[in-house]
Amino acid sequence: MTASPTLIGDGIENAWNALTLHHAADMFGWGCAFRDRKDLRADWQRKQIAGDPVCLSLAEICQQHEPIVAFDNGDGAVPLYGYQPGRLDRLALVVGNERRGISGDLVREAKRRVQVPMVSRRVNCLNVAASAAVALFYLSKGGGGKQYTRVDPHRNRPELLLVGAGDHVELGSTIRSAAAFGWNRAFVEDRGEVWFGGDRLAQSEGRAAARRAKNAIRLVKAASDRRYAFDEVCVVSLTPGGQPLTRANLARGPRQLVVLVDDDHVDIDREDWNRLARAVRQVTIDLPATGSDFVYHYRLTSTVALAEVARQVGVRTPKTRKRPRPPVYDRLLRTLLEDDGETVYLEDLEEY
Amino acid sequence: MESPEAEAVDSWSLPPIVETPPRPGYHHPATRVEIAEVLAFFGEEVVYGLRSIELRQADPRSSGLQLGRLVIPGQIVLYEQRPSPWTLPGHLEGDEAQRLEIAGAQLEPLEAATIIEWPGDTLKDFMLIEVLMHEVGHHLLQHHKGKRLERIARTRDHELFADAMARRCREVYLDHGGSFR
Repeated sequence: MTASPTLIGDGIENAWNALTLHHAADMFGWGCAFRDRKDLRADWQRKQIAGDPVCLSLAEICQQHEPIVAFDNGDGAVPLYGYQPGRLDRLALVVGNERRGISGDLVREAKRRVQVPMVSRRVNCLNVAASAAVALFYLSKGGGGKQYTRVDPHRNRPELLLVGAGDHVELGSTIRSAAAFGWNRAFVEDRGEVWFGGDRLAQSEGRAAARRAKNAIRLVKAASDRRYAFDEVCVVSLTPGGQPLTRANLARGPRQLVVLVDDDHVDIDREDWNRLARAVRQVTIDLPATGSDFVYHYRLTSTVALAEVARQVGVRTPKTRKRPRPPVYDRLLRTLLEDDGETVYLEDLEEY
Repeated sequence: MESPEAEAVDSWSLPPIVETPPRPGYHHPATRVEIAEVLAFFGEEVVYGLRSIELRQADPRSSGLQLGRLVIPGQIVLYEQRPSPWTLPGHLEGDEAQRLEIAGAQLEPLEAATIIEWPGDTLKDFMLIEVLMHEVGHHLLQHHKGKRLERIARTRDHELFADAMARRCREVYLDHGGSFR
């Protein structure tokens, strides 16, 4: 019998995804196993990945774990935000196949179904390992706060800057997460030149046009020495010493900039963050001590951060009958942040 | 003994001018006394139907820098501002830069920000003319077209009228030697 909670991948097809799920589990000190319905072992060997995935049957999963929590956006799924899992020691968190989700027989065994609210339920929004990291983060904390509800949550959404990604897959997955959580623009300091230019853009736009894709996100290329004038910048990373992620106010609106750094390629202590804003705040994604030895993935930590920002930004308050408000005429000084970049579509980021 | 201007104002009432203290690092560029002077200067016609003028703290979540607001019917709000110079993320939209320069601001566009310097009393005068009298323009159009609690013109037309009001007020202000006294 297992003495630690376990992340279980049900029907995972891609061995690289499976390996990243393993790394996600390691981050939080969880075990990791798979129910191999799609020849995962064969793909693992084909890709010459070291070791072997731990594979369990449905019966073994049910025997060794209690409760089983299914993590997908099916009918009856409750929000992850605010979900209290209870004791973790034998809990199994199940994530499903990249395209088809969790199999019906395992869903029926699950005590609870949880989901992260997304922009679209019809689109496969988050990379499976990134979504697992979000669930692991909140469950490892024993739950967390509920998602805010606001009259106009868009007003609380900060701007986003992605800095120093060393790999286009990690960056692409992060961009996918940002779009899934509702951002329609992100600034990208492409220091490793892993994203802008090349054939990827033309192919992406072609596919998006063919699929009549919606859910776009504008990617604005930002130079690494560019000066901005935000009121506040929150630099989010694994570097200890900052304000814990769930305690930082990350929903101060468009005058706030949230920076997600690739901890493998950026030393936040050597950067001049004052070039971005009047005030600088360091924010730490606090991991449990037991998860201190793990393989780092930018997409996992950045998606956890994006999920927390999305929780604080909130969702629109359900419409209730209300008194009509009188019209207002605002005198605002509007500015345009640079918009020179490219548009990508959530539907076209599914490969990341 | 009261001045002739004060006696004239006494025969009609200025709306109440209510001030909320600004946040640390902010100030109200135009004081309540200065606002009362401007309204008295332009006369009863611009004040008729106004219910209140309020000096308030700004909402940091606003999509743009908040200057002022008209809440129908007849409530005008002027927002606190940072002292000059202002540093705003991005570049000013449309003809906003030109309007600020006409009001006396000095603009310095950077790569991804704009610095706006307000020398002397230009910021105060901007708030009194291009903001307060602009909102008065909205109020006059709304109020004299039937006082309904709904928009009585397209937003674009409303803005054109309010802009014209502010422009005319600045002309009068300059013709009067740059003073409201």
